[in-house]
Amino acid sequence: MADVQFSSRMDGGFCVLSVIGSIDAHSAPLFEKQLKGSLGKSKRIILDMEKLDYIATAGLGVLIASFNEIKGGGGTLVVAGLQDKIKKVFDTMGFSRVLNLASSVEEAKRVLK
Amino acid sequence: MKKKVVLKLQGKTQNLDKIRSFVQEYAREIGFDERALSEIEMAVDEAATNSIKYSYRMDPDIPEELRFLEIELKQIRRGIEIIIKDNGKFFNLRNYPDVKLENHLSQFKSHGLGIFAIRRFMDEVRHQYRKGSGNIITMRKFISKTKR
Repeated sequence: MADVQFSSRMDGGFCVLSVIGSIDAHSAPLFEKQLKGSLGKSKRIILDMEKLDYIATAGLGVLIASFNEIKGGGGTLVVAGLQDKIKKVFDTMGFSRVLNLASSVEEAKRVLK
Repeated sequence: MKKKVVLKLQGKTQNLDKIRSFVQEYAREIGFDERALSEIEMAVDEAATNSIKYSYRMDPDIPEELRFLEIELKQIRRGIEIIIKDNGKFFNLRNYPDVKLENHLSQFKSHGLGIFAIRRFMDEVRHQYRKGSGNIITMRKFISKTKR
């Protein structure tokens, strides 16, 4: 059984990609595929990580590469709803300073409008 | 709670979640808080990933049945000792240069972050390589040093 699940939906002009579970070196390629799929739907992506339990550097690498790609193409990627324990990892690893973070999907939508 | 427990499994990325659960359960019993548990989880996951993705991948001649990972957990005074053994090629954990985060991420690079996480989140890290037996990573984390 996969330890991560993805679902995506269009919400206004945004593509909201929700992640449930853990992203490690095993599931990072699937995460990359899902992000690319979302990018095919919209240039404005909200990554709903409220139910993300764990992310390894393989997943963070996908995130930073996708962020760069989306930004380069004139789009936006916002990471929303990180649990405290994941937020602390983002802070320590320096990702909070580079990526766009929002406390929830709703806040991300407000910021992007 | 047992003073020492060992998990031995195949060195495949499919097993990373089992390794994380195994270590977290033991570390929780020792008394680490949620933040420290997350840090231990990441350090162990990254060390095991290094073994699988680099140590074993660099040597395709190692038969499938010998591609194992052994995770040994010990309760030590006010902390945990985690030993990860593989049977693969040498990987350079000790001499891997420190990542300069600001430069690294502003250029959207991500290589080397696993080793950065291991060093950042654990209090002591030691790497040994024995020809014929593989890499041994020994990591320690102490409860008192996790309160930042």
